[in-house]
Amino acid sequence: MTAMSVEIRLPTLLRPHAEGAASVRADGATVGDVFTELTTRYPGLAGQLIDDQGGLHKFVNVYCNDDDIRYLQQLDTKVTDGDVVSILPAVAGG
Amino acid sequence: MTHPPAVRASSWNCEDRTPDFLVLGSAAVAHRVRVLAFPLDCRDVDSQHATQLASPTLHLTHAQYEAIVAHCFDGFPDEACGLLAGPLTGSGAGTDPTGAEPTGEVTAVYPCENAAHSARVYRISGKDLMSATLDASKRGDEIVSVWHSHTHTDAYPSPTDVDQAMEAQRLERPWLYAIVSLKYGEPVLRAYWIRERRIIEVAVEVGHP
Repeated sequence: MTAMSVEIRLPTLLRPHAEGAASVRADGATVGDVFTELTTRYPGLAGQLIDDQGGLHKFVNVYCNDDDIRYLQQLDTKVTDGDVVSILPAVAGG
Repeated sequence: MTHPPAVRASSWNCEDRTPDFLVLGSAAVAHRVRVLAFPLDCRDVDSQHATQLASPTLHLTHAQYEAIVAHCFDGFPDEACGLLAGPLTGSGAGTDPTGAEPTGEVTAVYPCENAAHSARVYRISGKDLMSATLDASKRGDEIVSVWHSHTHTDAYPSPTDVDQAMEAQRLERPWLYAIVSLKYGEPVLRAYWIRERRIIEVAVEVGHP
């Protein structure tokens, strides 16, 4: 499958791990592929996003455009050219 | 029952004010909400307490306060929630996440859906967060606060609020946490920092120009 170029938007505290960028571009066929490229380029991001089992940390929300990938195919969610992948905090409480 | 000793509680006790009433809320549920229309000096009744509060002072206009409280009544019996945008101090508005904090000024109120649809917890969807963040950035501001209602408890962060704040702060700079209690006859709004699991109250001014 052809790799797709997507924009990844980073939350404030992850930006220092990506040379201060608020958004970066990466290629991949799935969100997982894109994250692999992202964390290869910026190794400091790996531990911030991915847990020991290879899944997303539970405090990390990832949206592909307007959709939470937890309700899609998680890291296997396919991306297409021009998609925007946003990394967001969980904003919640009781 | 101890009445919260907050500046906001004092504000409601300004006896020289004739309360104004508005009908706010959805078509299905209309609520009579007393509109805060007191002069600023009314808030100084409890000035000794106010001086102990941390900075910054969260400044809300009457309209902003009313928008927050009305949304909380609209969401009842579920918890209601939303976000506030405003400017940051210092250089952190750029890439340095540690060098900036909210000034306390509020430029926009974003009522959000409680995606948890619960009377005990709230959750702001990523879609609402992205939409508010985009709108704030267009005006050169950032999200500086999250607010929600406590329908039957005081306007003080719950253990769940603290747990969730700690998780959010792994990705975002600390926000101010504003809480509206609907436990009493009148709504009570208070605001806090939650840092390293410590809860630190900040002052709130309603009626800011």
